[in-house]
Amino acid sequence: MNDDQKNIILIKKIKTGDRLAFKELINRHKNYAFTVAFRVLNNREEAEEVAQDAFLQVFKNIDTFNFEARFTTWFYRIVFNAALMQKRKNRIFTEDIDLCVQASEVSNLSDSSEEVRKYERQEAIKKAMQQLSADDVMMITLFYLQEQSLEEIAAITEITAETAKVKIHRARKRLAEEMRKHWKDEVRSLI
Amino acid sequence: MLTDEQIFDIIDGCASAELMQLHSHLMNNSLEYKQYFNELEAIHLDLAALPLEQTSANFTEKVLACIPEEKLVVIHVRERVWSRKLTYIFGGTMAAMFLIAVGIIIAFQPTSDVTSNSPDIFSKYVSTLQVQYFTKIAVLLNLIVILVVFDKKILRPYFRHRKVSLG
Repeated sequence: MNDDQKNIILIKKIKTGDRLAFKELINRHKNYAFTVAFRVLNNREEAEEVAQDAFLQVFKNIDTFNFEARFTTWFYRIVFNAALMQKRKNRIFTEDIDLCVQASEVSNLSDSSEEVRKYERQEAIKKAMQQLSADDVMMITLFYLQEQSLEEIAAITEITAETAKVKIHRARKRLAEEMRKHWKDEVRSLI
Repeated sequence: MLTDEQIFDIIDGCASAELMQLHSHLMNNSLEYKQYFNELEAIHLDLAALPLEQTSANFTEKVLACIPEEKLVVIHVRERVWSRKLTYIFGGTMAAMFLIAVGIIIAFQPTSDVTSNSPDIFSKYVSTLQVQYFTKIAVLLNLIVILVVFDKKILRPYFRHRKVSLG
């Protein structure tokens, strides 16, 4: 049984009021929903709130889900809209405490230089993503997170597949530019 | 040099054979292209390897706490055309029976002459009928109507709901 079939069974159970099925659905998708929201908002608390609201919306509107689209497409559209709305709400950039926590985690890594380098690269990517627009971050996140097809990303963001492809290309290019800036700064700081 | 779109197509694995050939050629002959391609490919691999963020431990419980204990199950009961007229049918039957009863009483009411001249056997029979059979039939019909209404309005929805909630 694939993921989609499992989702369909769970949704049918939720429609009859099965709380355990809803719990399972949350556990299956919470990290993906949270990651999407977190990458856009860059704030754990807000991202959790957005992910929670998205699940509550799913529960409230489960009767309107007609199985024509994939559940993930429907669900990520809810998360996408909620995250973008939240992003628009707080225009003021707030530094997340988590970055400090993550920085301290570097010291907990083993001495393997490969691991440290990998961690540094990932952190650099995350930082570079913070410089991108919410739209760009969402495109990249959806493209890489669950290997969504262009058609699915198009359905989530309500644009055409061709536009989605162009947007993903542009977002990756902008990310590359940000990364280049980041590494230049790193080299400059070392000098 | 290839365009960024073409390079990303190669990275995503959806480039044409012709494009792949051009890419191989550039990789072997252009250091600038090779560096640029490697840079984009590294970002692509890093993005693909980015781990999922983890929610707080009590995330699921927090969501479940926000939803009502038991979601109301909406049962769509198809309303029959005749069931809307049930009240009128009941009232109409009662009125008809009342009129029939009144009619019988008027029609077979014994006159004073008949009573004085001879014993009215027919009236006696009708009178007995009125008391015994007619009343019993009327009561029985009422009971049937009440049972039908009780079954339609209470028993059936109740058992249907039980069936749904038992899954």
